[in-house]
Amino acid sequence: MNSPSDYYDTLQAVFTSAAVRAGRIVRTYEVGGFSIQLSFAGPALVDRICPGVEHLRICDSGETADFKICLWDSLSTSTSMPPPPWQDRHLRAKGEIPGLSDERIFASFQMGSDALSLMDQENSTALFWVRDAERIPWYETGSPLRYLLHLFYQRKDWQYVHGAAVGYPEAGVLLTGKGGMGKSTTALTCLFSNLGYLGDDYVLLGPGDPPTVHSLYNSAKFTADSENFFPELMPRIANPRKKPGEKSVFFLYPGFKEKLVRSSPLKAILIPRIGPNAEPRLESVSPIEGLKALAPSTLAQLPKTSSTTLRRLGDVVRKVPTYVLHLSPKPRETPPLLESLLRNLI
Amino acid sequence: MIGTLDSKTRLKVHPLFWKAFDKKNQAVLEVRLGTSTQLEVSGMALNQNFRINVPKVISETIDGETIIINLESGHYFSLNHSGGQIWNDIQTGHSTEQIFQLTQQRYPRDAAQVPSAVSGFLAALLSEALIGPCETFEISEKLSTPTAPADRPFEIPGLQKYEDMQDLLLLDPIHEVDEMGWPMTK
Repeated sequence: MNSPSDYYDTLQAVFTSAAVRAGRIVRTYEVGGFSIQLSFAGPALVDRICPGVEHLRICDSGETADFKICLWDSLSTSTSMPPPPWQDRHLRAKGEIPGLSDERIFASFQMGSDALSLMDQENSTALFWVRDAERIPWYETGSPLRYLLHLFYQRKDWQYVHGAAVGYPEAGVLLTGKGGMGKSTTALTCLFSNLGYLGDDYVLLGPGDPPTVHSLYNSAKFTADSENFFPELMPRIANPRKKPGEKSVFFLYPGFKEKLVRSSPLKAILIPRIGPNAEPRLESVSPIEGLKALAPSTLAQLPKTSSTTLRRLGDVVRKVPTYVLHLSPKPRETPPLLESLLRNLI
Repeated sequence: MIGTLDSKTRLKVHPLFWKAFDKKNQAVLEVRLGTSTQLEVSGMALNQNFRINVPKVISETIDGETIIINLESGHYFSLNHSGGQIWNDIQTGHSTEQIFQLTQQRYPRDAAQVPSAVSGFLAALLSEALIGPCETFEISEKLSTPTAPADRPFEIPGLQKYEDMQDLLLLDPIHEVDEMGWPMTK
C-alpha cells in the first residue's frame, strides 16, 4: 500500500485531471474569520455541497484561503478512480481507513454518502470524492463536509458540535442532546419569532469567555411528525420526493436570510425534553448535565476525537449555565421563553 | 474474613499500606500467610493495579461529578461523587492498595465498608473495559500525604451506563462494491 502522503498526491492528480476535463469552479466561504475555498471539478457537486453553506459565501480569496478543499465526482467528470488500496471490511469506526491515516493525513470513507475524504492536516488542504454526485443523500447536502470542517477547526482549538443554536448577534443559546428530543423543531419555531437562527444540527464553537457559537449550515431538517407544525415551510422543501424515513430538508438562504445570524456569544446551553408540560419552562441543572447532553452525541459523530475534545467541551459547559428546556406540546410557545432568557443573560 | 492469600501470583504488599491497613482494620481483616502469594479483598486482588484504558476511554470531572466516554463503543457513564474520587485516584497513578487506603482516609467512619465497595466498583470498571490491568506499576509515593476526611457521608461508589449513542457508531448501511472495488450503499 502507498504511504498516506503518496496516496494523497495520487488522488490530487486525479482531481487535477478531472478539473481539466470538466472545468474548475471555485467558491469561497468564511466561518469565524477563517476562509474556506472549495474547488469543484465541474458543476455536478456544486448543487449538492453549496446550498447549506451559501449564507457564508465571500469573494474568492485566491491562494490565500486558510483551508482548501478539492471536490469531484467520477461520473460527471468521466474520471475514473484507481481501486481503493483497502477493503471496506477493514474500515474502522467512523470510516477511518487503516494504513492511510498518519500524523499528517487523515483518510475516511463514509458509508451512506459513499464519500472519500482525505485531509492533509499539515497543509490545511483536503480532497473529497464521490462516485456519483446524484447519490449524495440529502442529510449530507444539508450539512456537508462535516468531517473535514471538524478536522480543520479542531486544529485551531475550535469545536464542531452536534446541536442547534438560536439567538441574536449579541447572545445565543445552544440546544443539545440526542436526536428526537426537539432541537430542530425548537430551532425552526424561532423563524416565526424575534429570534435568529444559527443552525439546527451542527454548529461551531469558538474559544472565548463566553465562547462564541458560529453558524455553519443554513439548512433545516424535520421529520414527517413535525411537518404539521410548519405548513408554511412545506412548499420550500428541497427534497419533496424523499425516500421513506428520510427527513425533509430545506434551506433558509436566501428565503429567510434576514433570520440567519452568523455568530453569537454563547450565553446558555439548553437540553430540550419533551413532556406533558402545560407550558414550556426552564430548569437550571449542573454543568455535568450539559456535558452529558453535548459530548456523547458530538463525539459519536466525529472522527479523531480525544480527551482534548472532551476537555474543550468541558470548558464550554463550565463557562455558561445549563438548563433543561421542558417543552410543551405547542412548539411555538417556546421562543418567547428563550427571548426572555436571553434578555436576562445579555 | 475478607482477606486471603493464595498461590496465584507474586505478592508485593507495599509496607506503608500493609502497616496502615493492619492498624486500622485488624478487627475486620484476617490475612493468612503460608505458601500464598496474592492478597484479595472481596475478590479484588490488591496487588493487581489498574490504569485507564486510554486513548479509547476519556473522562471529564466537573464539580466532583464525572462523565466517562468509551470512544469505541459509544457507551458513556456517569459516576457518583465517591466513584469520581476513585476514578481520579486511578487516573493519578495510585495502586489498588493506595486507593483502598485513600478511600478509608476519606471516610474513616465507614472504613469497614470500603474494601467491598471499592473492589466492587473496580470490578464494574473492569467489566466495562474502562480500566485494564497494569503489569508494570510503580507504587506511588503519594500515600505519604494523608487525605483529609470527606465532608460528606460515604456512598457506595456507583457507575451509571448509557447506551443511547451506540446506534450512531454502528451505522453500517447495506452495501455492495462497484467494479473498481469502491463501496456503494444500496
